[in-house]
Amino acid sequence: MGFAMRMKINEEIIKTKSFQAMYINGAKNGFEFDVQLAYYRGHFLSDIELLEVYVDGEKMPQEAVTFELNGKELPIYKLKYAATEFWSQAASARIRVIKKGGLSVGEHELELKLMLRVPYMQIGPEHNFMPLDSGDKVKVTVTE
Amino acid sequence: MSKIKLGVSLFSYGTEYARYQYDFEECVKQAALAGASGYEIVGSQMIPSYPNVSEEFLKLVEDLRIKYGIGPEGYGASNDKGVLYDRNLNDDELLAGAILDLKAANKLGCKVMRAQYMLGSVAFEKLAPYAELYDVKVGIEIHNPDTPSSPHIQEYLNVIKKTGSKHLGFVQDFGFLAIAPNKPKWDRALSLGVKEEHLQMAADMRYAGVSLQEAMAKLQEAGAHPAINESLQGMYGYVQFRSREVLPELLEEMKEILPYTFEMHTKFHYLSEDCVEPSIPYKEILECLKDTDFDGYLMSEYEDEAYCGGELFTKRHLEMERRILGL
Repeated sequence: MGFAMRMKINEEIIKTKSFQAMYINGAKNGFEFDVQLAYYRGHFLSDIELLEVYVDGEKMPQEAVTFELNGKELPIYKLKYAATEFWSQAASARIRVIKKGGLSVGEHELELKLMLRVPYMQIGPEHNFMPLDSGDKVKVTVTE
Repeated sequence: MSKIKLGVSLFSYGTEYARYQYDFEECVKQAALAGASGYEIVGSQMIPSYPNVSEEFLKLVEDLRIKYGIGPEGYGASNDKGVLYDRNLNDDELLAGAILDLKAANKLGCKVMRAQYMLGSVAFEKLAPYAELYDVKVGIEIHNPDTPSSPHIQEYLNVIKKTGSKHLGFVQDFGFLAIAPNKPKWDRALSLGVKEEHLQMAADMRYAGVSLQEAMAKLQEAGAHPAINESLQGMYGYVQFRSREVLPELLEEMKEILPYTFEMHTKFHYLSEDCVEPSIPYKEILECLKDTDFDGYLMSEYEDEAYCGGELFTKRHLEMERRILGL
């Protein structure tokens, strides 16, 4: 990956306290957590160029991941078309990941790869904008 | 004599806001405490219903106006040319987006809207009748590394003169008047292990007009810490500075477009205890501005390179402005 802007403005990108197991039909079958954008302003979701979730280095399948904002839960492939959905800087989005059986008890490394375009900073000819890295990697603990 | 008013861009509290130390009300309160008589709001930063202004947010703004005595005077627009994933917006689309910004500015009662140069001179020209209808003056922001004489700023000036519209003009950001290296970036480089002599060498080369590539090569040759490259990018990028000798010319540039200037963004990155900005020569700039007939806001805008929050420096900044202007 080439150069990307990073803005260390937030206390947290992944809100570690929000991390919890996700249940399907009463059984642990995934996990979810909140994310705050690491930039001074908000972005339309169409500015998101990459969103991937990794647990202990293993990539979660894209179809099992969703992004929820303002009560609207979207599959990841739709984010780039969402030019009217605005993600405020101070609002958290909810990431949900379906994973059969959930995560095992103990500590895990949770990584979010989140890359955006800064849509007013054109850095080259045509559709070439400043990349923004709003990704994060944290330790989470699963207790049950 | 000028009719200068002092304001604060709430952008100055962006770090506190992002860390949930301040909510919107606290930002307005801090601006009032710093002595602002109005504020600028960046729509895409602090309006939850952006790009629209909800009734709920408008009510909050009005309640705070009563509580703290100040309201929004300037609206910071975002001209997101790259918002679509597969292509750039065309001029008509940028225009349509800017009209939506005018609606938001007008609803909030802002008389000035700061637009980014991404808007383009074609859309800017077509915006004039809409700006007149909403009675919001649209100022293209002149931001370092641009100065008023930069070719694309001159393009905007041509449009302003051609249309003759009193609603098209500029917002001048004082960053283009910097004549010394940015202090927080300098301090950061030192903390990363860069030697002061190498930073000084970099600054001297910048003053002397040495190219970025050559400066990088020479510093590498001199054995500078690799973190010097980040400092160099700043010195040659958006926190670049010019030599003190060219300050009179830059001030002339500032004055030349003053008749078309609606607002000043009085940029700062640091203020010492005795209220001095180390890279932007405020005394000279404000002494110069005081004697003009400029009528508008100086919006203090703190750019938080150090991620330490804007509260203290913003207070000092307005204190400094008041002292120099005798307000």
